Amino acid sequence: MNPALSPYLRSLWNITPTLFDITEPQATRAFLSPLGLHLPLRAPADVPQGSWFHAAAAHAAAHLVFSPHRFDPAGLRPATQALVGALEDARVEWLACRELPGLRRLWLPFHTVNLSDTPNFEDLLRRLARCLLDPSHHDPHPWVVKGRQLFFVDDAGEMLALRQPEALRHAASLLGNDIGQMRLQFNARLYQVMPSYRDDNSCLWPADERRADAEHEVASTPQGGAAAGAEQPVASAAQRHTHPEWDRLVPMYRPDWCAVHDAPAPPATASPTVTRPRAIHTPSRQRTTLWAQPDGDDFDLDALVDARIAQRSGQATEPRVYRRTQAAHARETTLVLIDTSASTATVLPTLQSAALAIEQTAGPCAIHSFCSDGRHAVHYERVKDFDEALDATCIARLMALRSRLSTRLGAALRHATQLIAARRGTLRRVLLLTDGKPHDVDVFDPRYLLADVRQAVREAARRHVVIECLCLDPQALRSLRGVFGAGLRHLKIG
Amino acid sequence: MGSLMDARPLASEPYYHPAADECALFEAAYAQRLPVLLKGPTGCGKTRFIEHMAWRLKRPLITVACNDDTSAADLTGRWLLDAHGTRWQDGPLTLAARSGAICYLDELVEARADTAVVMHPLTDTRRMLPLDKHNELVHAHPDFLLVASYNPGGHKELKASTRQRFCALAFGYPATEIEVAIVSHEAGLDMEMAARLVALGVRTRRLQGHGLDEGASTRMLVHAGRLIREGVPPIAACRIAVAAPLSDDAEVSAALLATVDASF
Repeated sequence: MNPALSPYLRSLWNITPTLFDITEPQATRAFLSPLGLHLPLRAPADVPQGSWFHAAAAHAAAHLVFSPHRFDPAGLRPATQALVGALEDARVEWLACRELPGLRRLWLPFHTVNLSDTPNFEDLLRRLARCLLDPSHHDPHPWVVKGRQLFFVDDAGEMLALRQPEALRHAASLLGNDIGQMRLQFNARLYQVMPSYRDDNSCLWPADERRADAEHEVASTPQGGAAAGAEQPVASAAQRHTHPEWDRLVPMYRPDWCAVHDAPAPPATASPTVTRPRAIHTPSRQRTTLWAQPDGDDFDLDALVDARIAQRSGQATEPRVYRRTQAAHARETTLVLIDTSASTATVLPTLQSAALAIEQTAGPCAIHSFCSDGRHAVHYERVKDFDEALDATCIARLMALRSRLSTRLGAALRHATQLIAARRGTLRRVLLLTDGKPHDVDVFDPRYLLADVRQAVREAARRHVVIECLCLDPQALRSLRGVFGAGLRHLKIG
Repeated sequence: MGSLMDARPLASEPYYHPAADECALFEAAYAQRLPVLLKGPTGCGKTRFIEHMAWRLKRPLITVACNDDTSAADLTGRWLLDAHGTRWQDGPLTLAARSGAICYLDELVEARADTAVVMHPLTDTRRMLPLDKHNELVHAHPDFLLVASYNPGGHKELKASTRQRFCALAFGYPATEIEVAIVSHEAGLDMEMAARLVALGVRTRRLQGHGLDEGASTRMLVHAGRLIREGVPPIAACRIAVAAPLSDDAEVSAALLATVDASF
């Protein structure tokens, strides 16, 4: 079904009926119920396909807006009931077209008529409907001419005669009597409202048992409510990247010492319930001053003196004599790196919600996580990539992260630096969320990994990537201060 | 900058159709020299209102369209280098404060944070503008008034310390009859076509919050009207002036196009 019907009806009439699919495959007519508007799954085969749903929705909406009255079927023969429906259809369409004249263009292509000399009742009804929708159309049949004269006050069809339900009912009785006089047969059981975009007009009559049952038969699937059972992409095999590590005792790099296994985070199995946390602002501490600019807030004094000397000595003057402070946070790209080592088991929810909160406020942002099992197995998982939207799947992946293994921080930081350095933009930062100091199963010198991390931060700085650290453990702050410098902040729990 | 030096009252009356008593309120605020904040969605007539009021009060109007790169120096002024050395050049705010013009900061919230600080002394009883770089304290001319505009729907908000210095006039889309008159006047259309355009505008505004951030503005409807005046069929005019600019979302665009088709 066409999903744009809901905004279409809202903009046309400011109504928002709930839209349902009629799951019965044979159903060809829409119908209105107290629940909302029920539409068949498919448009009938013999009509313009593209606009059928719009035509059906616009017609049903016209009923919702202009047909508040319920007719009493008592004393009305089936043919007269069909005529009441046809006249009411024409009336609401005429009223709708007065506000939205383009609707006539939408509905008219469905009004195909059979101009035979011996029309049956259905043929005549269709010809009448055609005439009433398009007053400029002339049908010579006397019954159609009579219907037209009853419906409009004037010949041009600009004034509606049937303004009250009683008048409409009376006109339908007169036309119904003529049908009886003409000895035309009407089979109420096989009758379907024509043209096909019009609903079955059950909404015009008081609710009866038949419709009440039908409502229960409809397996309703409100549009937009269907849960998208999107299949998670199967995690591809991890890509292996090697990075050097700094040995503080030698002191030298050990080339290709650590292996980082880079893979998308595994899909979540259960959907978590997450309330989005309040945004955490982590404004960048970088405010870059741009020197020797063609315009700016203040003179760049060195450039100004040079320019003045050049001017006085008769040389070409350099016009770029200003300095300007760059709005640093404007084009900042952030990579949030979550430490998921075993020691984070108790605080992982805090890290997860902090990552979410940072994502809310940062510009382009990726969320990755890491843990390690010796230097050959640094597991690096991508929860959300830079160009991915933070949707339910992403949040589910984030919440599915589990604490395990150890913290070989240097290798993870080098890998993150490499990833973010490939991004465009002047300001790029890696924001590390951790519970404390690095450690790994194959390292016994407590200062070894710290020294390596410090080295990794320096390497990042050379590549114009800022590394910042939000640390949960107040005990670890002192030793990390020497590693991250001003980029270190304490993340308080709660 | 040169054109700013020529700031003088507008020669002819800019068309403005009052929606309520906003003109009288603005005149009262001006009589007391209270800074005014014009709030409202885009294209609802804030800029036209201030042009009209400047004409009414016979004051020159200096307009600054703020963007995220607008700094304090852009408003107050800066040193320039010319053949004879360095020279101070007043910015638009300083110029307005010296000459007694109305200074209109369009989309103030977009400007950098440091602009608010230079503005503050001008907006309270001190009515002065310190120019630290020029070592000067400018006392505002008695006729000077600061006016700012602000679109509250955006992603940025004004700081309380700034907003509390202003009186605020809230603008919305005009009532239907007034909007019809405006579209008819601005686009040069007959009332019936203008009414059709406004009805379409009202229909798009129903989608606000349901796929659209903002519905069609009065300005947009005037654009469509001018295309119609140029001989473009109404449906084509509304497609390019209303439906296409409003949304990139496929579903909402389809609904808008169908609404345009139904409207003419």
